[in-house]
Amino acid sequence: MDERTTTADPVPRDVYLRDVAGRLAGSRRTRTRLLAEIRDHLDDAAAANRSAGMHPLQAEQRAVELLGNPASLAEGWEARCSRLRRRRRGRAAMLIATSAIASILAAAQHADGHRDPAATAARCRVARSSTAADCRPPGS
Amino acid sequence: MLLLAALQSRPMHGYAIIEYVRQASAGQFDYAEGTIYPALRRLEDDGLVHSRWSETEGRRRRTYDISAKGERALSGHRSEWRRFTKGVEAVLEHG
Repeated sequence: MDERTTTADPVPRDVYLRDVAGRLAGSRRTRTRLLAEIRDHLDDAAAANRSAGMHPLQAEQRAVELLGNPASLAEGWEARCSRLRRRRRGRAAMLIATSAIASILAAAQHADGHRDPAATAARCRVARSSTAADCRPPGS
Repeated sequence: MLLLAALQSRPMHGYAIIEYVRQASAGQFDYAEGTIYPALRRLEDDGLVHSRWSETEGRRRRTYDISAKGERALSGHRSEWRRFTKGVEAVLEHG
């Protein structure tokens, strides 16, 4: 029988995972993946400690200690999430700006297309002797 | 840079990366092991590593692998680091 099952003490791995889970931000999917990786890590580390001759409970406690403070892990995770959010906001702003410029250019081309080409050419001939301002595309 | 260098040797899961760095550095780095996971995710966000679930020794693990972009970034980091250490060594030798 597993020695842990004979004691009422909570399992260090599970306590740690619950603590980390309660602190993590982000989507359920990404949090689930992170917690699965941490669980795997703790299992590997505890197994290595047991192979080195440690008592099973000590082996698990040592694995938890080396993983570090749950608050530090959650801070590192939050820093990563904030970075991702900033990047997404930047991309969204860029997309909006690009769409706005494209709309303005399309409107300008549309307006230009409605002019009489002969009249535009005549105005340009006149402009050579006065100013080039009339030959600029509408809206500029 | 250390994570990318470790992954250049072979694809690995988080715990194996920590073991690799510990052995390669003869235990020089003392850090909370949990910090590796947000760091790996940042590298993944930047396209420097890829990850996937894989079966290792009968268990499902998230395995990381360096990308072509990661290889280029590592090459740049290596050159920069060598220039830096060369400069420091030159100053120490001079003193």
